[in-house]
Amino acid sequence: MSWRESKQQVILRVDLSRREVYQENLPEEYTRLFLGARGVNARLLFNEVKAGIDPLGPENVLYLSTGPLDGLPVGAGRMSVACKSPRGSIAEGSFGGFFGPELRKAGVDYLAIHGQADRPVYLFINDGDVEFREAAHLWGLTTDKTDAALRQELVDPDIQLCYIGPAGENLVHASVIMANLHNSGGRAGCGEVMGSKRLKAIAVRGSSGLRVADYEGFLNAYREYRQHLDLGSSRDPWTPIWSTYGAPVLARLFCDLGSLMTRNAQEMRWEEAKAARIGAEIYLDRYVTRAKACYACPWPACRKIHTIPSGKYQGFKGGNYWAAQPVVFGSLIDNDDLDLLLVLSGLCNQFGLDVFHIGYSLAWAMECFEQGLLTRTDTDGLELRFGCPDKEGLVDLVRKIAMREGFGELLAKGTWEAAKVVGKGSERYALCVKGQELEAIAERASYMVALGVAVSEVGPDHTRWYPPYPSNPNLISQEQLSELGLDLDLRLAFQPRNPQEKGKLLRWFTISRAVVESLPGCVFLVRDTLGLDLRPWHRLFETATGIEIDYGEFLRAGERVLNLERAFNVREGYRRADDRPPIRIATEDVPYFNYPKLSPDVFDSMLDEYYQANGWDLATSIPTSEKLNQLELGDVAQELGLFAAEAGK
Amino acid sequence: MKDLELRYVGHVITITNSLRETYSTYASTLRELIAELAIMYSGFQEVFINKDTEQLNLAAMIYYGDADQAPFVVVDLGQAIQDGAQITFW
Repeated sequence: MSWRESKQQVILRVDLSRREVYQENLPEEYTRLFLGARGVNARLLFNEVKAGIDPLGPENVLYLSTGPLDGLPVGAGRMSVACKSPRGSIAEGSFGGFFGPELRKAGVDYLAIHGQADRPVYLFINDGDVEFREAAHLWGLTTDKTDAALRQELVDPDIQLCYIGPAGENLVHASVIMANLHNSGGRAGCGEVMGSKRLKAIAVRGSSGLRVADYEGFLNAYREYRQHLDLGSSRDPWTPIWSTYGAPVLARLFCDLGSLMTRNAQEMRWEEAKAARIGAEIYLDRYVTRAKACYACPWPACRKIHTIPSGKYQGFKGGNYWAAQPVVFGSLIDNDDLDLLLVLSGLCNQFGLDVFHIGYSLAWAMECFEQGLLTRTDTDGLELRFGCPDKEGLVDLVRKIAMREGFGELLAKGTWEAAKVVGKGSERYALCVKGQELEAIAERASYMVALGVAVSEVGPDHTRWYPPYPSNPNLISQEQLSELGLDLDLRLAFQPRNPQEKGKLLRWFTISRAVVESLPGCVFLVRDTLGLDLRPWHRLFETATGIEIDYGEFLRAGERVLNLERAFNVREGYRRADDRPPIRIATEDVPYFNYPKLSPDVFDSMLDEYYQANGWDLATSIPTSEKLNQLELGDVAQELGLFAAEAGK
Repeated sequence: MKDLELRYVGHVITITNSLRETYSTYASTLRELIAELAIMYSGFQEVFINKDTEQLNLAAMIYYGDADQAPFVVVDLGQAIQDGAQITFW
């Protein structure tokens, strides 16, 4: 068995147009400056993907990147996928599973896909050797069929795979990359970009071991890290929930809190009995066949594999009933039929569709239908109402979206673009930011969520600021916070509908999560005090790589990543006006509990605080030269200098 | 006498064997309510009250909301309870 040092960082560049492969070492300082995964992706994207290029053309580059902790036993099985989004902003997301660790064991840390193939291909990476293989026989297949065909063709049950479904091939809005059937990533359009490159799949097999720089030190850091996450020692109520029931438990909790977006977020409290019918307790009792964790995750039952036990969809198999689905295929469309919910979710995975796109598009279309803005003539005869009276029609509509057929063609454009086509005020019902659909957590119930969703460079993405609530305000004292350099009044910051301290709190979240996602770790493991005190992550990084940087410098890497992502968007024309919540959030009060709309004045005060804390120009959101130079991003400062005249207007 | 809407989530239902119940009590604080529920549900008190500090266990959470008011995270077990309150234990 061969061994790789964990600090080794190799980029494999694949040119699909020329069918050529190059290998190079990542510049040595990149690991110190950007850590890995999301951080290195941000740097490479800014360097290599020039402003104004066609996102669906050969100049776009698709990066699939691991990081220095990938493949080590810390639940770091994630990898970052990034490119320029078809919407124009940076696209970045991550998926879990086993693909990332396998890629590292194959001798590749960063995979950069350049160019565009002239016909469908897939890549087979076998311990660093790369083969271009024809994929005409796979093109058009759903992800489950692609998975089965590749496993049969490569005669290796342990091979790790990622691929796109028909949605990515057909350039459907926000389509994703799927890995090993149930893990999706890159919802800002990475699947569309992979489809535009005619790259159907990547198969990888590696046999190297990974060696850390300081074994004893790493073991000690690992033991300390596990104290925060193990059932017996964790001081976090999410630990037993996450490690046994998983995220769909949120359906009932959100319902009780009045934070469950219902009937396209017209309301925020679903009928309790409906929430219970799709809840984690029933799912675990009736549907789950086995647990399925990501690589080396300390929470072995966070995710599950399920089969529908009876009824019309009996035998339908799927996985990853997660926090999103109870909202987007439950309360948002007023569906309390768990069978239907799991079928809609499973079809998204099979077609490579983004569940948020589909859920919010359906909810938007239902509201338009009920308001008379869409009729049965528009919907191919479908009675598209909340409560889902025509279940079969809804199931078929998901297929039509992926195949761009009939009414599906309109929704395949994404909710915001569809609303622009329909017009007549339907934009009010489109819950989007930067052209991308919202996620699962309600903005009017938590102002930090509203701010986080609005400012995210990749469009709404909970991993940029998760979790929005502390598990318990007593978990960490104000003195400990000061020791960590966190200038925050935590009790004020975590009052959900008080705008004070939200800008500063969000800045901490966006920077610290950029650090975690660059190692990469899973943001769902940022529990107990691991989300406020990143020193255990810092020790894991140092002992794994042997690269010594102080804690402040470790956090500055996250700040660098955030500024690079913002700079990428600035170069593409994004400004303060693009950092806004959807119209409904800003203009409509919510029944139940007197949650008010998030008025523009209140929102702007939080936005000012956030920009100020980041050292960005208040009028434009452009990072200042001073800030970029402090972060050793002089080249970025120089390039953004072109826009300096806009600042302060 | 107060009528409360009690909700149990996740692993707590392995103790209560139900997702919800309407419960009548004379308890005036959450601490008293938990002590009462522990008589019916063995192990309930241990989940929510740390035996060393006698404060809310950091690995548990309670949401409390008076009728038609937004619930909030409970920090102090001396939290007064009112008729019609909705309380979620998890």
